[in-house]
Amino acid sequence: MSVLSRVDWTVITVLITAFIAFSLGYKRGLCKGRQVGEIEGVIKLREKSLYLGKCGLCGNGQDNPIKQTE
Amino acid sequence: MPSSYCEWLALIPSFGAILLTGLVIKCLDDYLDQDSNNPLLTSLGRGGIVYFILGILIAAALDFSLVFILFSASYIVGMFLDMTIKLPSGLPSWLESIIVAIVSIISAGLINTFWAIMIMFSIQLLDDLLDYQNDLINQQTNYAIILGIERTVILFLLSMYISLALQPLLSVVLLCTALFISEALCKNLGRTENVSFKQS
Repeated sequence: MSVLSRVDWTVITVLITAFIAFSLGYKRGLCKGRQVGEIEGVIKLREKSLYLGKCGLCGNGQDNPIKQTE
Repeated sequence: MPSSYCEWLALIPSFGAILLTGLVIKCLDDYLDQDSNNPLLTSLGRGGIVYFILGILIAAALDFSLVFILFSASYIVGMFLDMTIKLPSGLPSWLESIIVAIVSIISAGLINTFWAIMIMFSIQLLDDLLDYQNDLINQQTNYAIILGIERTVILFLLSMYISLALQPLLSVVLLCTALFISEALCKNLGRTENVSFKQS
């Protein structure tokens, strides 16, 4: 059975570092994505409610609905 | 690495043991998951479990220590995702894994046990990468779904590299045998076609 050489330990260290770095980046990206998604979701819901002329959640009407323009 | 024909011939029992052990582990895994898409398992029917025991006995007769560490490693690796569940023995799965690991270390040595766990883990990761689409549709437990494809690939490279560094010949033989068993012997081609049809 061969013992691990210096090159082997270097490759193993690089791969472990890549895994840890990837995991940290993935976790950070997930948190940031959730934050941005929550903010954008609220804005999109309010925009939709404005163009529909009623609340997107409860359906309550608006006095002066605004026409949607692209 | 064997340098003469005699040395290669001396390894034939080990290769036979690896093939039989791989078949038994694959069929046992599908039996526990009640996977009806394994054509070998369906052909064996109800008495299949007897053939599993027979298969592992023959494998152990060919090369006991290798079969012991490979079977123990597959048991330990199989528990990685469910470490907290309580098993029929009454013990949690992490404790059973530790007991099996200690027995394997006493029987075959620390480096051999570590190599076996690494190679079985890399085979598990490769299998999960290959079954990623199917398991996503069927909502099966899969390392590639839990960790993501990129991290699974990095883990596979890491465990495969360590296995190759410790036991290059046996690692390659095990990997080829595992791929042959999972993709050629125990794969129901009809099911794969149905999945492709669903996706399109």
